[in-house]
Amino acid sequence: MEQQYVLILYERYRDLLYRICCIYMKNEQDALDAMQNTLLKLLERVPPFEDEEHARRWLIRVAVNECKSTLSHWWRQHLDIEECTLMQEDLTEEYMRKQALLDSLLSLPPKQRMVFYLHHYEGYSTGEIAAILSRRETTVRSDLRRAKQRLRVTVDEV
Amino acid sequence: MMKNDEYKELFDSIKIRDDVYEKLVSDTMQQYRKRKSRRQSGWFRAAVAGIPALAVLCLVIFFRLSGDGNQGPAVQPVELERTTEEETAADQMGTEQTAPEQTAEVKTTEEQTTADPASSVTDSAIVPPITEAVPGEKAAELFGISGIVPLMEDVQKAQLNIAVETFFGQKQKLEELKNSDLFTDSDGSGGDAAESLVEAVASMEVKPVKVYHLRYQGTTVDRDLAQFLVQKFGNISMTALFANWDSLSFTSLMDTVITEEIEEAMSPVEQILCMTERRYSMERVDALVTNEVIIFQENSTVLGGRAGWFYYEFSPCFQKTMIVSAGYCPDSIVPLLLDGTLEYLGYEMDEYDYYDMRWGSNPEVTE
Repeated sequence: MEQQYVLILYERYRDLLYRICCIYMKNEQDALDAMQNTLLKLLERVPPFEDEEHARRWLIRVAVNECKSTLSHWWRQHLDIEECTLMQEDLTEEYMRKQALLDSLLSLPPKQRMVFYLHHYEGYSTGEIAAILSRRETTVRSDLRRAKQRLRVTVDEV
Repeated sequence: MMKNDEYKELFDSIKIRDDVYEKLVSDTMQQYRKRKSRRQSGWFRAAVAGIPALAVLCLVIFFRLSGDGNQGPAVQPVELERTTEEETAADQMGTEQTAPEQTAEVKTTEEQTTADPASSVTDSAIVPPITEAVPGEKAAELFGISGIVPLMEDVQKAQLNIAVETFFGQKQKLEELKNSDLFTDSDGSGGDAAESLVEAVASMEVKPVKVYHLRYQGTTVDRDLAQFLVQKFGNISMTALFANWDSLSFTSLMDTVITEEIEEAMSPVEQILCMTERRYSMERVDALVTNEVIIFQENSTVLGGRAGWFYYEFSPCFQKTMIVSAGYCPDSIVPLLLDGTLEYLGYEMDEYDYYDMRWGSNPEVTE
């Protein structure tokens, strides 16, 4: 019963988690590993969520932590991993443009791209992001501002 | 103008494929079941139950062994952990008690240098001898400081502009910093300031040979920072020096010598990461810090805590010492500001962040 609940919950947020992990890890394989660890944690602990939003934030937090923890392994330093690409085979102009946007996003520091994503796509306020990521709101705002500044330059170039 | 819609569209297109998702879930469930059954097995339970007992046993053996010699936790020349009462008592009694302890520490350094000639520094002639640059009375006074000195906004404000003007005489550099792309660390403050200083110093016309960013506080290596520094400065003139002060005594800094051969074989990131694992020996640090710039982060702990000793030990080896911390006036720096040991440097970064920075020039080293 509990497992079923976990799987339903996970299914609901699968794309959210996938995006977060991809954006953080910059490649699909690592993203999937982080997603898997997130699910394992969910299965093993199944925290008593107060509501839907609580569960959503918990999952975001755990996924981000998983990504951070993978990145902090010493052996990561020695890996030369290809960055994320969009899954599309025909190289249309639209595809190229999107890929350029993705590249510019991935060129940001991890914290900045995460803040940017959570704010602009998931619609969280800076205060909410600060709570989810356990950071100061001022820092989140700074990150967001810097991300925007950098992306503005790259997007204009695209 | 930022094209948010385009990013929204981009994020929309990042989705996990159904087949990949199915496989992920089935693999994870399999792994979960394995873990679960392993946890329920008798061996696993027995092992888990035995770990604390084993840890205690190891600790007992360790303390018994190390208690006989001159090194190790049983013999600590510098009393690193002091209660408020002890500090207050030290205040009242004067500073004589602390100084001999630090002298004892220096003797340990001498002994170690003598015992291990291979690790001695080749260019030691140009380095002020560590043993004579002992913090002495000044540091002893500092160690006597107890409690938290309240925020001194007036000190900060009054010195703000003066400090900006006097920062290496390069006001412009600081102005540039306000618009620079800064590194943000976990709490988003000290790391920014320290990194911006590192960058500023590195971009100066008169470059120091090396710039060190000492970061000692966290329990984990700030990998992002390490990576950032390497990206920024590559292999040239940049070495970051990390030490985790929370988990080591000063003597353990001297336990390991990293030879130049080892260091050269490592990548810059490895060098940075390595320093938290293998402590730099006194001799090694000595060799590294000659006539350069050191940047301390988290000044309150640097100056007021156990690392204060380090500060006074090594700052004479630098032309400039900078101390960086985030927007609060740290407890133990205030007396140094007041007695002129340090000058104050601070500025407002933007509407969100406030950084203050401090630096003190070292009168013993002249350019």
